[in-house]
Amino acid sequence: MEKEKPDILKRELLDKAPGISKASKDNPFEVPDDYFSRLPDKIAELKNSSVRKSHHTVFGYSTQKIMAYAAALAVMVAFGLTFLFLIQKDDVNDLAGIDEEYLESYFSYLADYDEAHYYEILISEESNMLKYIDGYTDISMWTEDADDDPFLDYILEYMDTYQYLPEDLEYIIDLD
Amino acid sequence: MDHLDDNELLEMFNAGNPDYAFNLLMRKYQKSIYWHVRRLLIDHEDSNDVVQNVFLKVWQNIRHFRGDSKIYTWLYRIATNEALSFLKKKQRRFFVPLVDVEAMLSEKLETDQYFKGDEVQKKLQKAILKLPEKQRIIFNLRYYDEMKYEDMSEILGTSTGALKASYHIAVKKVEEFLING
Repeated sequence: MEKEKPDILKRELLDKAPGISKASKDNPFEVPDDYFSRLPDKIAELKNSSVRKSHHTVFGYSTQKIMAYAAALAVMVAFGLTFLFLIQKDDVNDLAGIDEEYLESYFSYLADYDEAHYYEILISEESNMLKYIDGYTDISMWTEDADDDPFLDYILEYMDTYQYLPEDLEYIIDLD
Repeated sequence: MDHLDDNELLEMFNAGNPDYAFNLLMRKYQKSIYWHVRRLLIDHEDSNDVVQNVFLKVWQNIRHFRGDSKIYTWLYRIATNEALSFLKKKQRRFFVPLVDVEAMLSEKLETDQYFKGDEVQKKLQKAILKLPEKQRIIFNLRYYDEMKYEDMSEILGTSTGALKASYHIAVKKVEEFLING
């Protein structure tokens, strides 16, 4: 990594931030002894166990990956049809037609999948469809005013607007 | 072998020696990725979990890396996403607004056995934690990692002009907190 020239960095701070300039730039954080000498081995161990776990394939594709694609497609189709239905009804009160059971089954469906597989899809296939689930944060989605997950925002706004709060809110929102 | 550049490491991945190449890549970047994550999450244990995840995801996805960006900006991008995702999960788990999660991190500085900074450095860290998420990342990358705006642009998907403006605003806010906070 090529660093910025020191004189440029200094010029950026000196005039407008004498307070920051006075602070030591030494790293104020520490790690346990030998942490960095042990970390690569720990990661290698995790890597090897994850390789062993995901060796099942169908036509060369991981079965978990196929399941994740299927889940994503099912979710998109379900939401698409639901919204299409609601728009056709032309009655905003009918949004309440998305009932608690539907939301719960949707979230529990997502909870069954490993986050790593969403990420793999996002990175490797540049798919946009899963950005709205699992709390995934894509920096490219940032705007100045909205840092949050738009999908979750939608759900929360919906619950707020229609005074419709499922009993087990924590179960629904926390997908861990 | 420690002096292999990123292109040579990628060639090694593709030339049938991926485990060895990955090991070299980890050893080359583990510290910078860890410190980047640690500055965002403050807590060592949380940072350790996230860094392990980052490198697992690098391993799972490096075969798809097309070289459109530098490999280290790609690593930073994954690390940033993972750290932010971790903070959001923490926020949801405890049902607290993000600003309160950052207040919790600020309190953590007081008791953290792995924080060795003096009072000025502690105050600087607390000021940084008061910044909005994106400004905080920009401030850390520029101030601590001394990263060029062009590389930050690859990581954050934001124009260099916007990054310069954000850094300028972040510096003013941090300075204000240091003097009057």
